[in-house]
Amino acid sequence: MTRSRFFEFAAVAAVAAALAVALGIGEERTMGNLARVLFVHVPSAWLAYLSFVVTLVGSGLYLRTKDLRWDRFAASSAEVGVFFTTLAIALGMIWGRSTWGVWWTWDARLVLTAVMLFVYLGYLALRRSIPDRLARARRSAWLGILGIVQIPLVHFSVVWWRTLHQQATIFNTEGMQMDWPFRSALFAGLAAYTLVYVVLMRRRIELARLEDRFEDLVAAEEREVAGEAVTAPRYEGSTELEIEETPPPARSRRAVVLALAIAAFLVAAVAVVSSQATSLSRWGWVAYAYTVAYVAMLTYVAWLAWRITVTRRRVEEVS
Amino acid sequence: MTGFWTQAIEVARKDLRTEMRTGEVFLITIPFGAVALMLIPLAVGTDTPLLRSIGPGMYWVVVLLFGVMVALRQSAVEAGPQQDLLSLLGIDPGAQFTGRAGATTALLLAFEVILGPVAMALYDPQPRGWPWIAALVVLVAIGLGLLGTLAATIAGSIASSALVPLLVAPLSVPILLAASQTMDGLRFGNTILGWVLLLVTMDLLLAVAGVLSARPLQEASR
Repeated sequence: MTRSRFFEFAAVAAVAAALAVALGIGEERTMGNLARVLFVHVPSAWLAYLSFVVTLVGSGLYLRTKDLRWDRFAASSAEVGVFFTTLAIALGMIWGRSTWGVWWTWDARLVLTAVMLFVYLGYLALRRSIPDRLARARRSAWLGILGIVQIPLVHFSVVWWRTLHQQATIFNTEGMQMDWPFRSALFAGLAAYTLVYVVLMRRRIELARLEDRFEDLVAAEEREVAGEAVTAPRYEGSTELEIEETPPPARSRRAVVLALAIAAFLVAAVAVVSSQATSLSRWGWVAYAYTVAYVAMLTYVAWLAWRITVTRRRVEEVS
Repeated sequence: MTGFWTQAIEVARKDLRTEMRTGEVFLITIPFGAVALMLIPLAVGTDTPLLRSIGPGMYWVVVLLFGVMVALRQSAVEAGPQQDLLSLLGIDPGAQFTGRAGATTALLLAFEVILGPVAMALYDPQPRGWPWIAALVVLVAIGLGLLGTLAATIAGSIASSALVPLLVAPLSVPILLAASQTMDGLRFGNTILGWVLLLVTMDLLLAVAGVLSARPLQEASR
């Protein structure tokens, strides 16, 4: 078994175990079954923090070593962090609708988490707008360092402002405000999501490496040797490569159509469930939240796998 | 060229002189900001107590959003040849950043000072603690000037200017919060020291980050 497969199996097993623990423990005294939503919401938020701290570390190490592997590491973690932040917000909105009666409220924690999401969306947008790899790495590294100011703001927002969002339960000055069955379910979720993060990171880094390889190959093809008088050696009968005009393979097109159909179905399903949300039971809310979390993770994993496949094929075509 | 501060002042003077010639901030951005302040009551309602309560917040939002335009003005965005010339003259990248941020801060300060009476007339917010408000206006101008200049430097000339507002707006949230909470604190007699300290800390952090990152970012654009 390869290391990638090992992590994937471990992540699936851990998620299954965390689900079993989360659904197996008894009801919470005041919130009842709704408390089970926290076992996916809180780990998502923690993983968002972890991802952005890893982006900070990767950015710092890139600036220190100028090794592009650290740039790929930081960028991959930022993208995974954006995924977990979005998931944490979505699950928080489901929680809000089920307990407070609204999808969104102007609570400091909610608003600042959304702001943090936009900071790292800006980071990803910056990377896409700079074609030169070294300039991109250096510029985004500084933004990766600057963006970290959002994490303490988000984390301490519940302390600095009187918010609807509950105070810290784990890192509380009066000790952990949680009984051990709930604590075990929370930490099982945290461990499982951390393994999911590792799997996502490995895939995203592989994709980044392939994208860089593709860029290198295209650049090598386009580069003139000794000006225009001499051209790069080519195989007999070969012509200029037209990367942009190469039509995507039929399998890729089918995969895109399938992915779009699945996405449209999921959006429709979420819209239907959301419109009927007032009539959901507490277990219904729990099922809704867990479905959103697992479908989102599976979709992201599938999307990464598809991008890796397409990019690998493009690399093979060029090389 | 001589010392760091002389270089920074020369760069700032150059930026301000260009602004004097084009009048981009004074003739375009400031009137545009005033129009925005007028449009808000038309959208949310012209109820005087409502406008009085939301006025300071709206003023700071306009300052923040239009402050990005000040940081992105044509006179601050230098193309490759101008940057190369400054480098060949031996001007320290940190001094270039400081000078540009200084000019942007001065223009933002003018923007705030001119729009302040407009907001007072339109919203009638009845603020208290004028010495604190004066300090607040200066600290916000410094923070936004530094942040806008830093974001424009990070994005560089190769990145689209549409990207800079996306970078600046979320990162300026601590500045916006500190400004609006300080005004609220002054109005209701609450302590404001924490918010003022947050602003000072943000300004210092941005100044350090800007000066430290200036040289690597300049090299990244080569």
